[in-house]
Amino acid sequence: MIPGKTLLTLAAAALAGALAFHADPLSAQFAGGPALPIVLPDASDPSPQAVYLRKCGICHAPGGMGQIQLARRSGPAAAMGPPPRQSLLTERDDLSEDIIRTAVRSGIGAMPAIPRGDVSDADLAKIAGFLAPKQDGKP
Amino acid sequence: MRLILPPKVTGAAFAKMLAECRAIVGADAVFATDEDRDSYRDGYAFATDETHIPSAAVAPANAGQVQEIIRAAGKLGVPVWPISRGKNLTYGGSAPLMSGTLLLDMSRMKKIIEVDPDLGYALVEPGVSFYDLYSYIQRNKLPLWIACPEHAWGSVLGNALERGASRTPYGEHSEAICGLEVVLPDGSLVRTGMGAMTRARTWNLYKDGYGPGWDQMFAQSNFGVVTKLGIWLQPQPQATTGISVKAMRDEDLEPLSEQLIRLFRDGVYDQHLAVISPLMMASVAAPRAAWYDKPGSITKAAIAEIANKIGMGLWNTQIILYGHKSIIGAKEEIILAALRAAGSTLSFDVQHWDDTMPLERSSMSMPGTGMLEFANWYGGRGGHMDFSPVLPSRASLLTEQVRATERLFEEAGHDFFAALHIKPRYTAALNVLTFDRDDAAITDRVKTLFGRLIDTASAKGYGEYRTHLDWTDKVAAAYDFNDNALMRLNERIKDALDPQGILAPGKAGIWPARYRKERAS
Repeated sequence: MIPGKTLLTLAAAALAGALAFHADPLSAQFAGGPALPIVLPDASDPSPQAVYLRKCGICHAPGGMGQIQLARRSGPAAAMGPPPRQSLLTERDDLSEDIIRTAVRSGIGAMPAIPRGDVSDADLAKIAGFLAPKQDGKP
Repeated sequence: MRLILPPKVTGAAFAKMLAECRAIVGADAVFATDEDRDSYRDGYAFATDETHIPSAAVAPANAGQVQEIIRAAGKLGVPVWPISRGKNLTYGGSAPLMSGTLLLDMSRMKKIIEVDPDLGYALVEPGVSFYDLYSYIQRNKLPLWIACPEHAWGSVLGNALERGASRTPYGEHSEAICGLEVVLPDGSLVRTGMGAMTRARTWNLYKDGYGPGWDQMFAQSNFGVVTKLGIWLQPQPQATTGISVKAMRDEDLEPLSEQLIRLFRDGVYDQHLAVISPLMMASVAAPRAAWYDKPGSITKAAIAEIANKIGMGLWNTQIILYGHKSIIGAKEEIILAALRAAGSTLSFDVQHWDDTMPLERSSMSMPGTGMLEFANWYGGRGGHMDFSPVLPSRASLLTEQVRATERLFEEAGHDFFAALHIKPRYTAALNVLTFDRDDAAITDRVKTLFGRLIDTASAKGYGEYRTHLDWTDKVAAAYDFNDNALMRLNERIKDALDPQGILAPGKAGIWPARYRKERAS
């Protein structure tokens, strides 16, 4: 059980925006007030970051289900409020390309598997390369 | 997952089908490994079952390729299950009903063909998600708002065809459909309504054209593959007012519902709202273990305690007014007066926005996925299914149904989440069944409970508007007037359009002659 005081803080944070029934009730917390959801880059931008945002940003940007799930792993108090660093994939330093590939194709925890029709092998290679830290010291 | 062939299809015919698909879309858009089959299974259903397993998937890039694939399927007799983006979570996701069916995955068809900011419509392909459409509108600074359901990952086209909903004036998504392009089971291509004219200029403006209107024929059906869909979008209003309402006592549900129904029917507001129990939001904030640690159905006292902790009522809703400031100001007064008369324990929070203020402070329907978090209520790998009977919008009947449903949940030892989607004449009474997908004790309990929910609702004359693959035949069988005359009509149409029975066998309970014996008894 989460201690009562922490629970209260959590719930208050979650519900500050929730009563408005926005589909994304938690995102407001990260900007210190109401915030618009991220705008995905146009399909004409082939950069790895753009591919990551188009394919993963829906869930892994602040306030998305994936970000919230990862924040919970950092402890209950971290589920709300400013996102802990480890809950944002772009801030992680422990993701290998293999881990990313397995998580995407097999699913992990509450994240369903993402089929190749949705994220192609080529897109997944770009995403994995973008998120995994460079081991050889090159940018 | 190893390959399971579709019933009545030989290994040779299936291999030939995959070869033809590779020739049509390229080898890199045909997915037939064990990992591929697993990745397309329903990610929100019971992991304890080995059901609804696809044989492979083929991902066309355009309507022409869809036609070629359908023609090949007809020639070789291979059943095909179309998915727009495969994110129809709660209802089957990307999985086919009949194991072995080949998936036609249209995720790659992502063109937003047209968005008209003046006339207020979009023409989209199946792979366009709500997030994609929202982003397009924001990037191009168009004065239009989307009507977004609980999670924005899904397809605009697929959701409208499945009769999805959102809490906006355009919240009946199937009613916002205007004009379809459809590949029929023989591979031919048709456009509905005004789109039937070669030089049509009003395809996405006037629904019916001349003669019968066919748009709704392709909603929740297996009569064709929809490759383009026109959908009306809400013009950005000058102002919005959000009136959040909390009812502090359980018995306030009836007077609150009565006023909401009356105000909607009288045209004081026109937005599709939901009245929800506090567990809907508590589950988004944290899983069950954080709130309650006892087995069995969560008690009313515990729910009241949670509601109190998170500052919610026992029943909660939000009315949103859209339009010119002076008009919605007058409506706000009418609504507050009516609700104050409905109960002394009701409390209100009113948020005003107008277009001189930042958009993020408005009551615009914003895309997100955070609400999916409620699926993780029971811990583990979260899943959920909704039981959604349609009731008359009479407050006394809504209350009676809520109480009866609560009792069934209590008897089953499962937590009761409710969201009453109130419309002027009917209410879709959603009951969310969440579970740990891998916990057989919970999934067995949910299966038994779900069956009882359908049976008891049917006995009262209430049918479901939408359901998960597992319950398709049972829900369809409840529509039983005159020896299931409606299903016999559906089957006659199915057999006429799809004599080889290749398109989505079993969808909405409609089985082609070739596979009719597959229907669940």
